[in-house]
Order: sequence, then C-alpha cells, then structure tokens
Amino acid sequence: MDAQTVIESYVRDVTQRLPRRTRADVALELRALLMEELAARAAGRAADEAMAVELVRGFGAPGEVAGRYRPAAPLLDAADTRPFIMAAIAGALVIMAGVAIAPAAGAHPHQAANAATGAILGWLGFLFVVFAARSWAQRHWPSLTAWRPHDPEKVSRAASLALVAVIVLGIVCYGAPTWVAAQFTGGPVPAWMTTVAYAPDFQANRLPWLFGLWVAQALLILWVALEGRWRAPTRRIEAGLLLGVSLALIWFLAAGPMFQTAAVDHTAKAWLAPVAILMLVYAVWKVAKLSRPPAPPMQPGASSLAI
Amino acid sequence: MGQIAEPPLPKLDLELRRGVLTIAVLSQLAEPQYGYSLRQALAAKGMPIEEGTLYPLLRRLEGQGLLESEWRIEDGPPRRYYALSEAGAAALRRLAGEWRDLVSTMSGLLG
Repeated sequence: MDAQTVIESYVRDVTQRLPRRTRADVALELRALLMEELAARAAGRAADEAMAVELVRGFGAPGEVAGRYRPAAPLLDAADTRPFIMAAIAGALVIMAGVAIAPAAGAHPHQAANAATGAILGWLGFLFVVFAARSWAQRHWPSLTAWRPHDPEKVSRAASLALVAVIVLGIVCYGAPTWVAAQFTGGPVPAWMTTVAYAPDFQANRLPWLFGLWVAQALLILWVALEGRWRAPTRRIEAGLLLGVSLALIWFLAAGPMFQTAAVDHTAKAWLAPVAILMLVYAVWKVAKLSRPPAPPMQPGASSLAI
Repeated sequence: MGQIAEPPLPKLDLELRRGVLTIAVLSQLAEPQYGYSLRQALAAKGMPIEEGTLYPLLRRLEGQGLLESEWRIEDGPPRRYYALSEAGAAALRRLAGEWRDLVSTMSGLLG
C-alpha cells in the first residue's frame, strides 16, 4: 500500500462518520492538508506507507476526528453513568433472583433462564430509553428540568390521602375479591372467579398478616399527613413496615400454595417473586440508610474547605 | 487530613492550553491562511497545535460564523483559506479583552 492509499482510506473512514452533505468538502480539505503534512515530513524524499500511517495515527482515530469536526451530544450524559450502571445492576439482580426462585414456584429452570435473559436485555433497553429521553429533555428544555430546592421530608396531604385510599382499595380487592366482582356484575359471581380462589390455609393464616401491615402503613401515612412532615421516628417505622411487607411476601412464596388452582398459583408466584425481592432490597437499603449516623451540621465559622 | 493524590499534570497542561486555542487561532486570521500555514505560523510563535485538533477547529469556527473560507489555487494544490468574519473580529476583540483581564487577575493570584 502506498502513502496516497493510506491517506485516502483514512479520509474515507473519517468522512463516512460525518453528515452526507459535508463529506465531500471535508474530504477535499482533509486530503489536501494531510498530503501537505506528509510532504513536509518527507522533506523532499518520497513518502512511504509507514510515514503516512504514522501521520494519520497522530491525527487521531477516525471516530475521534469526526467527533472533532462535528461534536455530537451524547445519548447519555456522563453524569448519568453511575445511576445508569446502578439501576442496570439492581434490575439484573432482581431478575436473576426471580430466576432462582422460579423453579420453586413451578417454572421450568431452562424457560426461566431464557425469560430472564430477555428481561435483562429489555430492562437495559428500557433504562437506556429513559435516561436518553431525560438527557434530551435537559438539553432542550433546561428551564423545565432545572434543579429546584425541595424538602424531601415535607408531605402532600392530598397525595397521602390518595395513597391511603389505594391501600384500602387493595385490602378490599384482595380480601373480598368475589364481593368486589359481584358489585361490578351486579349479580352472580363470574365462573372464572372460582379458578382464582385462595387456598384456605393461605386465606386464613397468612393473608391477614399482609392486611395488618397495610393497615399499619395506612395509619402511619395518616399520622405523618397530620404532622405535615416525616421525622426520624416515623421514617424508621416506615422502613420497618416496608421490611415487614417484603418479608411477608417472601413468606407467601416459600410457604404452601396461595391459590387453589396450581396453574394460577404458579403464575401468581412468578409475578410476585421479583416484586418481593425488589421490595426487600429497597427495604434493606432504607433500613441501612437510617442506621447510619447523620452527618454533623456545619458549625458557624468552620472552613468549608476542611479536608 | 486526607492524603491528596498526585495530580495528573500533563492533562492539566492540556486542559489549560485547550482553553486558549480558539483565541490563538482567531488572533492569526486577520489575514487569510490555510490550515497547514496557520499551524506553522502558530508553532513559530510558540503555540504548536496538533493538526488533528486544529483542522476540525477551523471548520467548527466557520460553522459558528466566526470564520469565512474560500478555496484558492495559487502556487500548489487547491487550498481552503480561512479568515476572520465580522462576527469573528468582534469575538476576537471581546476575547482579547477578557484574556487580558484574566492574565491580570491570575498574575495577582500567582504573585
């Protein structure tokens, strides 16, 4: 390969990464400049392949040089790298934990592993779209996405009441599903409802524990709404109740059947497993966070640059 | 007191130089120059700039309206000559003022 061919291939590799309308013009200029640089380096001698390769390597990798000609906004902001990786790992761990539990819930291990691979790839794709959309929005509407001061301990009373309503609705729907269905149909319970009937032991001995925890959560939310803000003790109770709910769900998975029909039981447990694990991970993280001693407040007059 | 790691000095130098590239390039384009001759002129005045950095920078400055360019055939192959546009000349005056203020401030800080 002669020096001219090296230069041509390099110019082609750079310009292929540029918008079509600018390629010919940049190629013409870049080729002329590189040939001039090469001639200067050759200092009267005939330039050879090694000399041309050294020149273009010094110029930079084609992708890098194309980026200098036309800097493009990154799809993901550099600042989002850590949150993206953490979210990706957390999601993948939850999915893999679901795979580990799936055989116990009656799923075939091979099918569960295949489903997990798809779920992990889907999760990564979902995360990528969310983070890229956020980066795009931050660039296009900086005023809308600008940071604003907020008090994480202050509660919205309307949101609290809505949350309590959701919890009550959950207790009613899970506690008396046939009654709820009858209210909608206005008459007899649909036949398919019999296939999703609870196992008697589950309904009598395990499900009430979950309802008890939900009632406690609803009461806590009401109490905090009355106070107007979260405080350290209520935060601790919140984390404890969340831990309790997640452990109850794991107990449901591990103890006997939840539903009378085996197929329904397997399907329900397959869905419940990732939810329970995700909730447990979150609850443990919350408890650990609350267990750490709070950072001491800065004393007036103390240097803000102290190491 | 925490132990402070040795800073990567070569990178700091690079970042410092990168900040003045634009003003250095604009300062030499009152008269039209093509990429290679501009690089030689800057190097001769103590501001060597990698060709892989300079040539794309010229295109970006042109895209921003600070430079104008035209192809010329003189004694050699066709070359693209760049010169300051009106907006570029105004930008150079403003940047030069800011640079002098900065030099004065830094001299005071460094003692």
